[in-house]
Amino acid sequence: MSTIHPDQAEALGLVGNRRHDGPDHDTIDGSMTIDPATRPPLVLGDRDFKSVTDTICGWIEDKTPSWWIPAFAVSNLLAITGTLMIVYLIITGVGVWGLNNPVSWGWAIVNFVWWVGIGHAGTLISAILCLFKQDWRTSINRFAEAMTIFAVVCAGMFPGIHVGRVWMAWMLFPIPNYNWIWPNFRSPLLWDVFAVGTYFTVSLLFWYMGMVPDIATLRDRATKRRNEKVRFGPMWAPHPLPDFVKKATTITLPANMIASYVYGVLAMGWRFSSRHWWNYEKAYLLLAGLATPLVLSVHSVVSFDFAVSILPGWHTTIFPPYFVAGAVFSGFAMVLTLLIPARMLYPGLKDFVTAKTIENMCKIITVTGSIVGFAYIMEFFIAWYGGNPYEQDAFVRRAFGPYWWAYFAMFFCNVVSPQVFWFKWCRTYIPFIFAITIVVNIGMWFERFVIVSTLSADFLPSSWAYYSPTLVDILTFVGSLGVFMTLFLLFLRFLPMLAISEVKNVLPQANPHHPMYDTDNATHHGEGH
Amino acid sequence: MSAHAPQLERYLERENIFLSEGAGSTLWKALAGLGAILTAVAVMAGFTGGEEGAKIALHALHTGFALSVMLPVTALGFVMILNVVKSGWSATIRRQLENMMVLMWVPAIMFVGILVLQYVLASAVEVTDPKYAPYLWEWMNSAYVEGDVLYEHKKGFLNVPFFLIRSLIYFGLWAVLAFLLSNESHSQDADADKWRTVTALKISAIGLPIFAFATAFAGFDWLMGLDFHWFSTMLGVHFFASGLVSALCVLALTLLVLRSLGKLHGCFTQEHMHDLGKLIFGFNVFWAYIAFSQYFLIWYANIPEETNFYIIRKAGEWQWVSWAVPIVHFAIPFVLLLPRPSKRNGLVLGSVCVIILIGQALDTWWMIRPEVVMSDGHRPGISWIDFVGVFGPLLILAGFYVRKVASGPLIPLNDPRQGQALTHVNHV
Repeated sequence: MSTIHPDQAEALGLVGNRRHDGPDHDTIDGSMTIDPATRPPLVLGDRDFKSVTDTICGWIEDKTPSWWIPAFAVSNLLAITGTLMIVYLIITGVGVWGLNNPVSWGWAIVNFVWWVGIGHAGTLISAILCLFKQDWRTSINRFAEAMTIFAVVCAGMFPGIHVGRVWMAWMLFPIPNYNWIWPNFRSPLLWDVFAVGTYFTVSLLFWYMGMVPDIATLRDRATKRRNEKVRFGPMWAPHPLPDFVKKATTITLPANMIASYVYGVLAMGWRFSSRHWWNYEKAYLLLAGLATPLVLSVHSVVSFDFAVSILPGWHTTIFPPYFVAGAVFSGFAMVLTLLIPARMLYPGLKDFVTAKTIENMCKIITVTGSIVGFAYIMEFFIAWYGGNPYEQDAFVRRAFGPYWWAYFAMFFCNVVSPQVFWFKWCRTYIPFIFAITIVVNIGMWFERFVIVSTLSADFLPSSWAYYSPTLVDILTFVGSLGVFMTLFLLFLRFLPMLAISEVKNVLPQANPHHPMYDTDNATHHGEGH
Repeated sequence: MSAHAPQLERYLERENIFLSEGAGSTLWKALAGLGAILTAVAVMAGFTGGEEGAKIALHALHTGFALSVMLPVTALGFVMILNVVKSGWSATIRRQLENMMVLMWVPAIMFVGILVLQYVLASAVEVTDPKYAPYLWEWMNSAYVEGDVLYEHKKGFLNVPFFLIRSLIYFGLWAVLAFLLSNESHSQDADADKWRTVTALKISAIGLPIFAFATAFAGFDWLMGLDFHWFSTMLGVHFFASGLVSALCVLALTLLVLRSLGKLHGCFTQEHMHDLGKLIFGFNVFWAYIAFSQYFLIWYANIPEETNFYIIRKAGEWQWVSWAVPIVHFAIPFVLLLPRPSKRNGLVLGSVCVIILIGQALDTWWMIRPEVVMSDGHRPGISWIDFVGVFGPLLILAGFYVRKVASGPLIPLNDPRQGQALTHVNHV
C-alpha cells in the first residue's frame, strides 16, 4: 500500500532517525520520549498494583512527616489571623477596609474572583481532560480536585463577609422572608450564588465519589491493622515488644480503630464488587459530563458581574471565555505550586507525577496565558475601534494611569512570563517552573485588581479617588491563604492524594492485551476490537 | 508498517484507502459546474434586479464566501490542534481535514470576485441617492461615510488599501501554514519519516497564535466590518467557533460517505464516529455559548451602538430567522446528539451534521444579510437570490473538495500513530 518499497521506507526512516539520535538523552526521568510513534510511560519505576496501593496508602499510614506539623502550625496561624480580621470587620464595619466612594468593591471581590479562578483547574483536569482521554491526568486529578474545593471554600468567604451586615448574608439565597422580599434575580451577583453553589456541589460530589474506592482501600487496610493486635507490655518496655517478655497484653491501637470506623463510614459500603465498579464508571462519566459545562459556566457568570454593566472597561463581550481561560490558567499554576513541593516531600510521588506530566501542565499554562493575552489585545483594539472616548480612556488609564504598575505586573506575569515554556529547558527545570507558577498566581491576582481598580476613575472626575488597601485587607487575604493551606495539609495527611484505582488503570499491565497475559497475542487482535 | 499485526495490515490495503481511478470526476465537475451556474445567476440577478437585487445578490454571495472561507480556515486550525495535542485516534481521519484546508485558494478567488463585483455593481446600478449605492462594506462608499464621526475615527483602520493588505495577510498566513502542514503530511506518505510528525507539531505550535490573530481579524473585517458602527470583542471567537463545528460536520459527512462506499474499514470505525460525534456535540455547545454570551451581554447592557445589530435582526421577518438559528443550530442537534447510541449511528450522526450545517448557513446568512438596507430604509427579507447566492460559492468549494478527496490516499499513509488510530476504542 505504501507508494515506495518497504525497505526504502525503512531506510528513510533510519535516515530521519539520525536527526534526533542519541536515545533518551533528553527524556529526564524516562517519561519524556519524543518519538512520535510511542507514548511515554505514565507511571515510572516498574510498579505493580500492590506497590501503587502501598505507596499511596503509605503516605497516610506512615508517621506524620517532620515538615507537616510546622507547616500546619503556620497555616493555622495565618487562618486564625484571617479569622480575627473577619471578626474585627464584623464588629466594626467595612470601613476597616480601604474602600472609598468610587471603589466600592475592593480586595474582597478581587480575592473572590481569584480564588474561584483557581478553583477551575480541578474540574478541568478531572472532567474535561477525562473526556479528552488524557490519561496523564490520573496522577494529578485527585490533588487538583481537592485544591478546587478548598479554593472555592476560600472564594465563598468573601461575598459572605463583604456585605457589611453579615447577619443578612443568608439573603443571598432566594429564601422568601416574611416580608416576601426576594433577591434581585436580574442581578449577576445572585447568579454567582447559583453558579458557584452548583459548581461547589458538583465538584464536591465528583471528588468524593471518585475517592470512595480508595477510601474503602484505606478502610480495609486499617481494619486489617486493627485485627492484627499489637502486643503491649508494661510502660517501661521497648516497642516493639521483644518476644521474651511474658507479661504482655494484646491491644488494638486507637488510631487504627478510629481509622477503621471513619474510613468505613466514608466508604459507604464499597465492596469492590464488579457491580459497584460498573455503577462507579457510569456515575464518573455522567459527573464528568455534568461538570464540563460548569467549568465554563462558573467563570462566565463571574465575568457577567462586570460585563453586563455599562462601565467603560468592564463591558466587553469577550469577557466570558477570557475569564474562563484565565481561570484555568491560574488554576494550573496553583496546582503546580502545590504539586512541586509535594513531589519533593513525598517519596515515590515522582514516579506518578512524571516530568512529562509537569511538562504538559506547563504547556497548558502557556496556551491559556496566551489566550488571556489575546483577550487583552482584543479588548484594547476594540476599545479603540468602538470609538467610545470613555472606553478608550478606561483602557489608557489602566495601562498608563495611576495603576500602571498593576497593569504592567498583570501583562508581564500573565502574558510574557508563560511564554518561557516555549523552551524545553524551562518546561523541565523544576525550580524554574515553580518560580513561574508563583509569578502567574501573582499576575492573575493583579488581573482582577486591574479590572476592579477601573472603578477609581468613575463618571465624575471630582469623585476620582485612589484605592489602597489597609492592613486588614491584606491580612484577610493572607488569612484565606492560611485556610486554604490548612485544609490542603489535612487532605494530604488523611486522604489518598492520588486516585489509586485510576493510576492502576494506566499501568501497562492493566491492559488486557499486555504480553504478560497471553502467549499467542496474534490471535487476540480480531476485527471486534 | 511492519510493526502492525497482520490483521491491521489488511486495513491498509490499497482498495480500502484509495478511491478507484477516476472516482468522483463526474461529481466534482457537476458540483462545481452547478455552483458556477448558481453564482453566475446570482451575479446576473445583481445586475438586473435594480437596487434591491444588487444588494441582495452581493450579500448572498458574501454569505457563500464567508461559509466557504470558514471551512478551510478552521480545518487548518483543527489540524494544528490535532498535531499539537499529539492526537492518536485521529491519525486515520486527519487527511480529510487536510484536503479541506488546502482549498484556501478557492475562497481567496471568491474574495477578489466579491470585491470586484461590489465596485462594478456600485457604479452600474442606478440609485437615487449615492449614499445607498449597493456596497457590501458601506464604509467603502465615500458618500455613505461623509460626515460620519465614527468613521472618521476608524479611518486609520477601515480604509481600502489597508483592508486589502490585511486580507492579503490573512490569506497569506493561512495558505503558508496549510501548505507547510499538508507538505509534511504528504511527504510522510512517501518517505515514512516519523519525525515529520514532530516537525508538523512545531509548525502547528508556532502557527496557532498566528492563526488566532489572523482569524479573529478576518472575522472583524469580513463580518463585523459590514456594519462599521458595531463592535464586539467576541466576534473573532464566534467566527472561529462557527467554522470549527462546521468543519467537523463536513469531516464527519465525508467520512460517512466514504464508509458507505465501502472504504476505510478499520480506519473510520464506530469508535471514531463516536468520538467525532462527541467533538461535534461539544463544539456545537461551545458555539452556542459564545453566540449566547455575545447576545446576552449586549442585550443586558443595552448600549445603542451595540444593540443596533440585534435590534434590526429582531424586527420584522428577521425575527423568525433569529429564532430559527438557535433552534436549528443548537437545540435540535443538542437533543439528537446527546444519547450515546446516536453518536455511534452513521445515519443519525450524518443527519445531525446536515442540520448543523444548515444552521450554520442560516447563522452566517443572518449575520450578513440583514445589513441590506434600501434607500427607503426597509430591510428586504428572503428572496430566491439568497439561495443561488449562498449555495453557488459553496457548491464550487464542494466540487473542488470532492476532487481533492478523490485524488489521493484517504488516510495519511505512514503516520507513526496510525496503529493507535486503527485500534482505537471507547471503553465507556
